[in-house]
Amino acid sequence: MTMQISTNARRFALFVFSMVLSVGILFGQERTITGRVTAEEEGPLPGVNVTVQGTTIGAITDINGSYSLLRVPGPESVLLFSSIGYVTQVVTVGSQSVIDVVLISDVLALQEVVVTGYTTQRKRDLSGSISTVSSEQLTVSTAPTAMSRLQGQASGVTVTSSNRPGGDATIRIRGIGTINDPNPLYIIDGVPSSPGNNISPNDIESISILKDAASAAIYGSRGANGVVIITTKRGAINQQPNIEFSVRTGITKAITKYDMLNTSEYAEAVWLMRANTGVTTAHAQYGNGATPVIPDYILPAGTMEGAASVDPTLYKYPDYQIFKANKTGTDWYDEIYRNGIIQEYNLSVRGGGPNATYSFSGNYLNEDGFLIYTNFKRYTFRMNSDAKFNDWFKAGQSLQVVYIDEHGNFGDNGEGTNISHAYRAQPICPVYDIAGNFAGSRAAEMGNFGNPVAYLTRDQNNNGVWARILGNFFGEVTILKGLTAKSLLGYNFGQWNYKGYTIPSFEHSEPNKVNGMRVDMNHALQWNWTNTINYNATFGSIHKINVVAGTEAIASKYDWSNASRSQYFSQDPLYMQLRSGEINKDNDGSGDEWSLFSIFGRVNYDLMGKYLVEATVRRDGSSRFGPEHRYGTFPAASVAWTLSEEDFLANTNNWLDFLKVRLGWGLSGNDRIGNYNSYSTFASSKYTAAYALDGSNTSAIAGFQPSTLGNPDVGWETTSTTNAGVDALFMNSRLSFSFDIWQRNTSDMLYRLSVPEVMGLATAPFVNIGEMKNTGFDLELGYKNQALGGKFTYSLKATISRYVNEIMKLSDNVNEEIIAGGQRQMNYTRATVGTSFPQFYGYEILGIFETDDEAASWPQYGATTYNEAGHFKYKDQLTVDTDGDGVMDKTDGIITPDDMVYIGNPHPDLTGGLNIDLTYTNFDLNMFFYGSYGNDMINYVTRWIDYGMFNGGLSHSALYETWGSPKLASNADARLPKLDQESVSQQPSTAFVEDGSFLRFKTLRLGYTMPSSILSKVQVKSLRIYVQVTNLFTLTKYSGLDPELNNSGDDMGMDLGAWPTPRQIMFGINLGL
Amino acid sequence: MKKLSIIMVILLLTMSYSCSEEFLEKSPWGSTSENVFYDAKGIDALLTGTYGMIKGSALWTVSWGASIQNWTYGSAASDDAYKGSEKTDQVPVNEIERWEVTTTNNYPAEKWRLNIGMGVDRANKTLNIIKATEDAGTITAAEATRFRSEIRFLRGLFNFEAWLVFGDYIPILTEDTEDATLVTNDNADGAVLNFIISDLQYAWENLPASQADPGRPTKYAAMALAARAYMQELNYTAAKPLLNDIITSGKYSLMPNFIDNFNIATNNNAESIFEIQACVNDINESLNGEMGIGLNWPHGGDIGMCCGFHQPSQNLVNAHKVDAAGLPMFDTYNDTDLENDQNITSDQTFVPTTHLLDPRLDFTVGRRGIPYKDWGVMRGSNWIRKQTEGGPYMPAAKPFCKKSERYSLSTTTGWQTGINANNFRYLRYSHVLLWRAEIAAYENDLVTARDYVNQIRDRADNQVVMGRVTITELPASVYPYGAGTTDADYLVGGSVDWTQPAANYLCGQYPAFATKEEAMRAVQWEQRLEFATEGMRFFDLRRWDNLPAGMRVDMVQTLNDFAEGDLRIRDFMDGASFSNKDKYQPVPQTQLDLQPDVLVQNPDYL
Repeated sequence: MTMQISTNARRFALFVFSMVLSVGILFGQERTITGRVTAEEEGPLPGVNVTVQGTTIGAITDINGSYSLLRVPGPESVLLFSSIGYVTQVVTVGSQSVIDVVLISDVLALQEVVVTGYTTQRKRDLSGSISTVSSEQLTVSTAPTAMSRLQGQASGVTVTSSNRPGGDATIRIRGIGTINDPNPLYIIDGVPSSPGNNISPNDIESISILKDAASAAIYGSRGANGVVIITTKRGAINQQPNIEFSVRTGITKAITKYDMLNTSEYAEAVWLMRANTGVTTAHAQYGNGATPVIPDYILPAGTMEGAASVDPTLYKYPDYQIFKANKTGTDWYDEIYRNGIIQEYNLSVRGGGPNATYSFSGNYLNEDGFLIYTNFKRYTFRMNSDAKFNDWFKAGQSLQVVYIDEHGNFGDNGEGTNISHAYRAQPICPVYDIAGNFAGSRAAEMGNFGNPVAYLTRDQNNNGVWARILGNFFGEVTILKGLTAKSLLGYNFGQWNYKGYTIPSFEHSEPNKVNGMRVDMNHALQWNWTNTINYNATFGSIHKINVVAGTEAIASKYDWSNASRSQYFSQDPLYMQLRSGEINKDNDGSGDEWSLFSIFGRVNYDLMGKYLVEATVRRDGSSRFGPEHRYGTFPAASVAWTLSEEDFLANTNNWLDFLKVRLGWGLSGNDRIGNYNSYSTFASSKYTAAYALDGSNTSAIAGFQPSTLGNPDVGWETTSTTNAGVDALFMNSRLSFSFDIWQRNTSDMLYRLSVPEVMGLATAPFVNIGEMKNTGFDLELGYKNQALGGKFTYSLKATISRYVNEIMKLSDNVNEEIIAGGQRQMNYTRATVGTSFPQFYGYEILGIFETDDEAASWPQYGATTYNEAGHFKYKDQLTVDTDGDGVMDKTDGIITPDDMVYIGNPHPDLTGGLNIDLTYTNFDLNMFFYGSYGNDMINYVTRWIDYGMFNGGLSHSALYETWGSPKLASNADARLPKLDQESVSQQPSTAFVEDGSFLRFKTLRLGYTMPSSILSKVQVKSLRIYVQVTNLFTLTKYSGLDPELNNSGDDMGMDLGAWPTPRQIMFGINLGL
Repeated sequence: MKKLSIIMVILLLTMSYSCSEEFLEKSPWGSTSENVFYDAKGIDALLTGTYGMIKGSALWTVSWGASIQNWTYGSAASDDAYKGSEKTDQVPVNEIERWEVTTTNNYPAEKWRLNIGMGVDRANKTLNIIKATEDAGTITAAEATRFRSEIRFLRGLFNFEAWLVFGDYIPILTEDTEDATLVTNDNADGAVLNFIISDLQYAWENLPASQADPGRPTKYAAMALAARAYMQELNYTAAKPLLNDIITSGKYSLMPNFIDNFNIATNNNAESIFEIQACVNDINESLNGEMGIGLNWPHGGDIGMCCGFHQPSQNLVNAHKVDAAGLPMFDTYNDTDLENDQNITSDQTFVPTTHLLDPRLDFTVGRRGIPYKDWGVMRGSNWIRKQTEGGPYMPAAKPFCKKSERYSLSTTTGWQTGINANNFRYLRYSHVLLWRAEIAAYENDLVTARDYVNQIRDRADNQVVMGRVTITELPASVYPYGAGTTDADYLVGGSVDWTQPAANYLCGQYPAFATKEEAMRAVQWEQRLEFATEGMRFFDLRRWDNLPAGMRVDMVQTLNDFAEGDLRIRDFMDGASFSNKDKYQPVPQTQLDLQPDVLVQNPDYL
């Protein structure tokens, strides 16, 4: 680590030195400029930033509004005058030496140009609902992916992220629009492609999020779940070379772990369990006495020092291992957690001449996971350039190459992952046996956990490599003034290679004893060719019109293969290749493709800057649908009215700067249903259609089976969105407000109808049958101001989002249910008409039986003997309809699955983010809070650690809070039923539902910008250093590792043991040359 | 002009794309439509795909609930075996073992899915393609008949398996069924059996007496399966000629040793009438071995596989007690338990019983102090997943492989690492003999009954498990977990006298039966021991419950007595009670919900 930094630092110093030399040569003809800045109707304006564009030369106006700039380079220099609440003024120096300016109040954010579908618009002219996130906002988070960094920065966008190294984000825009793929469409520089964790956030200029159909309909069949448009940084015409170098480094560490019992407590809990179940037989480790005896060794089971069987000379790996008991208890989380190192280096050069611009950047991220032996490395290189050939033709290109190299076991949110094995492991088990080989559940009565240290260690060579090339070429012709035509060819190529090793696990109770290796490979190529014509014109000075029309063709091909082998002579990863594996030579592969052809158009009309109308239509043809349903048309329209421009509001302009109301409606589609829904097919299978007819012991003959049932009649899933919004600026634009209320109705929702099994088990096709509704609002509030004569500025920005998701229809059967979230033969989630997708489903618990009499008089649990003191009292719901009116009005006196009801909802009522930015002279402080309110979670982990499933590790609660525990003063205080591993107590119920609301202080960042007066002496434009701490504290009632869980779909909100949000402490330097 | 020409080029190219409908035509890769199957090669491929279903599992779509060995419904639900393992693992099987099955239990749902959903459906689709291909003249009538006879055997087998578990409440789906979703499962008495027999009869009339491929059924396989179906209904009259034909064909004989029915080396032997072929290491996790019993292997300890399910019961062990004549102790066998090591750790002293035992016991059950196949001497609790819940015995030994076959003939990948290439002898000559003996007993043909039973017992006495432990306090080092590659390598060393039988075995011959009741009892006992843990016991008890008084086995009393006696070992069956309504599994609720006005639930579950 230190070696690496020092090497890198040395190289960097050399580089900086050479750059500084070359930059220095560019300066000359320097002089001093002075002047005074005043505000319209206000007089002298202190605290205004005056800078020379493209340099770091700058000054701040004093109390009289005066400034003085030294060493301004030459007559071509451009001065920028900027201050919060005012429009930035741009003045070219020319021959002047005194420059006075008058700043006018800014309807600031509204001048900002927003990237919309296929074009750009001024924010003030928008009539749809679009959120934008700037490159600055993307620095609030230290997450490796830009999409994770969107969290809390834009309203109406719900972001959850994986905490694995390089962890990707799940983005939902305005709820869950479909039970199918609800991911938004991503466009990167005009190329439809998901950024995943492939794009360096440093390269991003802005992100636009098209939230309503009025904005997204221009993307037709793919826009139903919103569109995220990513624009990368480019150089500017006549910009001097702008070199930026940044480095950050720090550590990441997990700060939460389950509260588990130590060895002696665990033994006590086992004895409590034995007392609870009346078991009197000997325990293999703890004997058979009135109290447990903690042995010296657990393999051979329950032996003491001096026993013949623990004679170390008997030790023979793997046949005869000896495990010494860990009498204090192994803290498995301490064993697998570590302080991971994160380093990121970023270098960019941007600039431009009179006819061309360039932008080069390179980024290297090396992120350790906080679990041992996990690492993610990413190398990105980007080159964007534009050239203007003459006054009517320009062309440009973008190119990004990314190479990702990750190592280790990244398993997340599953009971078989290492985070989970750490709670499934017993404390008495040591990590290593007496000879230093791994120990584990091979010892008797240890359950069936896998030693997580062993698995993480063995998987350290598991290696995923991802290479991607993404970019475009475009040419643009100005045909007439205001009329341009653009043609863009985009490409997106990705190649994934993975090698995973199986190393024998002799210490495991269910060991794998043969080594092996698996290779996965796939590649995908997608291209798009997009042609647009854009027409801009103003008639009679009050009619402004903008027309975009275009065509787009997209085609994509995906090809995968995999292969595996077992039994290797050597376990050297270099040796373990496909060719050297001896048996189980298994190979597979296939692929798919799809294509889309579209025609689209949009008209914007602006009357007097007050009345805005936008109409959009797109017609898409897709290969995913049968010929009869191939084409779909998606129209949308929106209107906006800028009231603040009206005379009748003229007298409010002392406090109201801007007020606009918007109304929009539109249709957009979702076509993500797989590629071949219309085909009935048969497929060969080595697994499910093969048989050793010839009696072979080692090979089966593959046959064919019905594979899919086609539905050529299926069409688009269509979402209509109605949106009403208001944007306002108050108090000299210090206070900004934007509010949208919306409803999305998805119809023809594609649903894979459950087909009765008498029809066979071929995959059923989708049919257009379901309906879903989402309603909600998005709120963005901002306030900024300054004090102390501009030395102190502060700003707050809050985003609040709400959605309510409801299934209106699944199929023609009103009782149709989606039953999911299956874990260990129990299903935790369910969805049907009237519920969200999904909700939690199970028994309602009314308490714990205090006495056997109470239990006996209560409705029995099925035909079992479950009812007894210390067990759950399940509610007998009204399930009988006595008068035939269709309303259940009576209980049936028995607890059966009929009594399960909806018991929780993983969807939050509100999510929100709060950014606070403070600057004082050269110091800046950023604080970011994020919260979610009203969402429930299923804490499935408790089924293991509170209820003792499979004799794994037990929680503190299992001993101290269970009914009948001697640790309790009274059974009335029991939070959990008696500890007896009873599976009925583990049935899905309210006992597993927890409130997942949280408020998290996500980021605190303190930065210091070196004064330019010092920097200019060393020819450095800018230098900023900062420290940043993430995940400072979390307020939550959730008892698991982390309430912020990245899972979605039909088991949303189920915590199976996920990588928790770590704390990161980061130090960074940004240097501009 | 230059400007215009560039624009024109763009426009033209764009137009050319928009005109191309081909651009939007994308066909699936790696699969095909029905029309490629209309020839002999295609039908053979579909036929093979249908055979694939008799393995009783299909990747993860159906797994342990659909096992062709019926270890849950036929064995764990009976007095032969326990679910085993731990009570928190595979919880649905607790309901099956304790006769508390609910309609939402996913195990029966898998049995339904495999047999009705996958098996019968594949058979019917194949039959339709056979017909269309024959009609088109692409295959000859003889070829069509050959295909049809195999596929109808398979359809008969799928329906038989479903019928065993669900009784008459299964839909009768034929290749002519236009809309399977409209076919009720509310059948007339005997209709399902008639349908099964009609398929099997077509099969035995058209299948050859022998097949080049051991995996394909012969006419005798069809007869034997039909006989088993008739036996379920105690239709002895119909079963008898079929069994006679098989016996008189002279094609089959008992293998020299009982264990030959459970060794990979003797797959497809002279005793086999129809075996479920298993193979391993051709695909990951060897799921072409039988995944349906993928959990039923030793767990932990030195053997260390997955996951310790399907442990034989103490009652079954007791049933192997014999008297001085080597004959079963019909009335007293379960009064006391044979010595077992429940409650004794592996390092504590344990003396195995010296009671006289039927030698089949130690081929069927792995018990403390006795060599377990060639895996060394069974070490007791260290080799058991959780004694308190699953009892002291190893998972049923019959389907397990030998240590010398590990990896070469057992899976090397995945976690169900006991899956191996041991075929399941679905129909074998010993079945035929004992069913024939049962008929003879019923018909008061006491000599025939005795002769067939004695043939089986004679064979049972041919070979016993060797290797007597010589010390009873057993440090770990005593037990060979040896290195080597052959059986001989493993069966040496330790404090074991490998020249001596592992226990005191005796299997005597019945001199004569005095009455048909006595004969029937002996035949029933013989079936229990010979086929123990093979998933038949529960169904046998169910049919014997319908025999006339004197020959009848009262199923309710037998199972409840078993549950009560079992409390001496463990408390798992505490409060469990068997009644007549538990004789069949419920129709899966999910299917009832999908076909609400078509399918009906077995009234016992309403």
